[in-house]
Amino acid sequence: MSQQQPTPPETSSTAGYNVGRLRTVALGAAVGLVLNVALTGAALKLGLGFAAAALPAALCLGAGGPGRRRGTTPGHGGFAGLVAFFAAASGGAALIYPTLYLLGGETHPPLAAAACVLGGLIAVAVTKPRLLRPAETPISPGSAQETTTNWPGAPVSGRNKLFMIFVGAALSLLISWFTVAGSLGWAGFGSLGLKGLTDKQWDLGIWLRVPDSVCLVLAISPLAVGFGFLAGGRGLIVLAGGVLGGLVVTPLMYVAGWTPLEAVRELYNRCSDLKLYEEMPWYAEEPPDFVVHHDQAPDPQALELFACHLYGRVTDVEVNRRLVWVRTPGDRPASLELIEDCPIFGPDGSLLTVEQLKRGDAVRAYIEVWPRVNVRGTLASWCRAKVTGPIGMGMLAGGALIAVLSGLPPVWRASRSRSIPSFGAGGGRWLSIAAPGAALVVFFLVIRIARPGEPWRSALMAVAGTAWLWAALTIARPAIARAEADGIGGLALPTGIALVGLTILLLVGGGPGATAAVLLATAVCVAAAQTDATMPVVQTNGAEWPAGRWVLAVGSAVGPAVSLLVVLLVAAWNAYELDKPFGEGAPSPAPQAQAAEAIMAVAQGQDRAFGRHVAGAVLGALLSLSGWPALGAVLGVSLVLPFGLSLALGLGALCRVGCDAIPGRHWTQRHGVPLAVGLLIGEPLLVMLLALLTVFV
Amino acid sequence: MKRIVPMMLGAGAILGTIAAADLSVVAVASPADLAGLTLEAAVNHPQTNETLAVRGQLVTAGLAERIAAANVRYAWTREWTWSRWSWRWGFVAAVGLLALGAFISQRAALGSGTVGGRRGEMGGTAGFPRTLFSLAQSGFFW
Repeated sequence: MSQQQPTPPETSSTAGYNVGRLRTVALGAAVGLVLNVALTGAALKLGLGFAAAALPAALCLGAGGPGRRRGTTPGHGGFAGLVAFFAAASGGAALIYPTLYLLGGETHPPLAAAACVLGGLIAVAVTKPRLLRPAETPISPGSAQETTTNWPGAPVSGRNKLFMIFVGAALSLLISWFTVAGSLGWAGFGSLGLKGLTDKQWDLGIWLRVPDSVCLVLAISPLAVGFGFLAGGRGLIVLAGGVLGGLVVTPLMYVAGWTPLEAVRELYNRCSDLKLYEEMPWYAEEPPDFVVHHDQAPDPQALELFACHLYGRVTDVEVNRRLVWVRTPGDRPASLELIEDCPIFGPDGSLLTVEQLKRGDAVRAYIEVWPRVNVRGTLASWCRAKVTGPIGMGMLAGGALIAVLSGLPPVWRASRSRSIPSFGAGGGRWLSIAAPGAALVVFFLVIRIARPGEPWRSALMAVAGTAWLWAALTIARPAIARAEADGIGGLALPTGIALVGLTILLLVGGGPGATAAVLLATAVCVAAAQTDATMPVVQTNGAEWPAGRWVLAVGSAVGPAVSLLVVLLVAAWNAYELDKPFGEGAPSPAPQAQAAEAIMAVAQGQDRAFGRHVAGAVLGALLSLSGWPALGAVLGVSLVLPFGLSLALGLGALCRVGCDAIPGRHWTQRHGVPLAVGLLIGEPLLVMLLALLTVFV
Repeated sequence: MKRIVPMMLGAGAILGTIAAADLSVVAVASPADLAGLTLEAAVNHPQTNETLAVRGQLVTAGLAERIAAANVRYAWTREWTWSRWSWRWGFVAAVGLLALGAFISQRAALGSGTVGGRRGEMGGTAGFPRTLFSLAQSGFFW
């Protein structure tokens, strides 16, 4: 592994960088890009992210050594810093860009790529002047750095850690494969036949016999478990939010009769005690349309509704003692009628032939469906879509706004004392003109391509976007080491910056400029995420840099591009698997993009659940005022996430707490953290691989 | 203090979320919504999702009318009024609880020299009262 030698401190602009150590650079880039993929996948799936600097620091790959100053963060040095530059933008592209998928219009991948690369490059232009001014940043208690620093074993054998990462990644790949295998026609977890176990989740409620209104499921997601382990104690907040949404609010709403499911349940109750396939051999003799076996006299109206579900058109429902017969138009067997209208699938998802229908296979298929009808999953998804989701999105936005606001005072203080340079100060004055100038030009082009018409409005949007970009970088830049202090809330600040920018751009550009506004907000978000995540590296590292500035520039350009590629591939895979790229119900719900879409709808006057969003925003803002600026955003995300994912993440966090207590923190650092990083990596890699296969094969 | 503040915040978050959920129970019940939900309930079985989803598209239109005709009472469409005793007052209480918790935690942080969870650093990430305080100190408002 790259136990690179620390370079002696340098003060000139070029002498400190060892561009010749190609092996180190290549390895750092590779590790950074893999982490980038993992973190982008996590941001899409969980809406949470670490600051990119925290992960390599926690891994402590090749960090430490004699060059490290006492009290500084070892992980920020050399190799880990290089990794961070390649992984930093992972949050940026994944937060806002999926909004375009949710809006349902054109997604403009090339323009988005241009915007992302520009954002990354501007970020590196801003961080560059700070490169040679190492600062003694105090270490945040509870952060990854603190753990790493207090761990006497550092630096450790990178080989051991890499081995653990590979083990974790292999495990994650294997588990993830069985969650998606079903949709590719292979045997997945669901074919194990375990009660309540499907390909993607495990319904624990069936085992624990909880009421129907409680949706106690565990998502099978190694990514979430690994993420929770890395998050540690703060991951428990996500679990608490999930419990609040899934196990408290949802059942309460059901019991209190606040949901329409109450009405649906009432409807279903009329035929809920249908005992269906008790007389199975009956089909072989005479294939009917369908038959239900009822203990009591069934309600004909309810049965008609039920039959209508299955057959669409029903002319007659006949109750004959304990058997119910349904006739369809033309008095032909319904199954034969239906085969002309639409395909019918059997229990295993395969298309049924006419012969099979005659044998009654389709009837069996339907009959197997019916007894499982319950409110459980439906209630949970309804509540998430209509109630807890909007509240959570409001919390996310409110909390993110506070994260931005709490970045203001240092900016204000510093700008009064003139200690914060503008673009390029100390690194060549030309940058102060070139960087915003380039942004202005690119923004204008992006807007013109994304939305033809009204050049003055495009120009206005470009100016507003550039101004907000500058403001965002100024806010993100002094946030030194805050990302570490925030732990899993590392995405709160970029989210807030992007959401505020989106609102400004929408107000300037109006409704038709929505696509362009999202693209510009993506660029701003990438720049903010890159700056926010790499500033600690730059601030604490300075002299120990293993490579030249060009490597940083390349990293800051390639990182966002790769991150965007991950977003595109995940969208392609989700669309292939479930016909839904992002949003509620998709395997990767992209909570931030949902919040952005909701804000756009509210800003454009489409009053959708206005009260819920505002109430959530108030709660999120107040929670964020309590000392941890990301609390509102993290709790909001946990309300938007399906309960299964929150539970998986919470289990990971509990594992971490347990491991810290019993085998000890040394064990956690040596084995647990690399294993968790491996778990984090495997799932997105598999999805990318499958997406590539579905796109190109 | 260390115990009281998290308890206040937790209680405020729980109460506030439940109350906000009640705030949202003003959705308009349309037969189409209900038909969609009914179908969703029917297609809950994951392995046959596709089957019934395809069927659902065919059925929805007719089903909506049938459900409307079934004359099910929708107890969940309720009026939004402040006069009614409800969780809306709970929301007000939750907001008060959270604000008080935030205020106390900021006071405690300022008193102990720990701001935003970090000791000895006054400039970095403070909560909002701290932010306001800093802004006021730096002359932002005047």
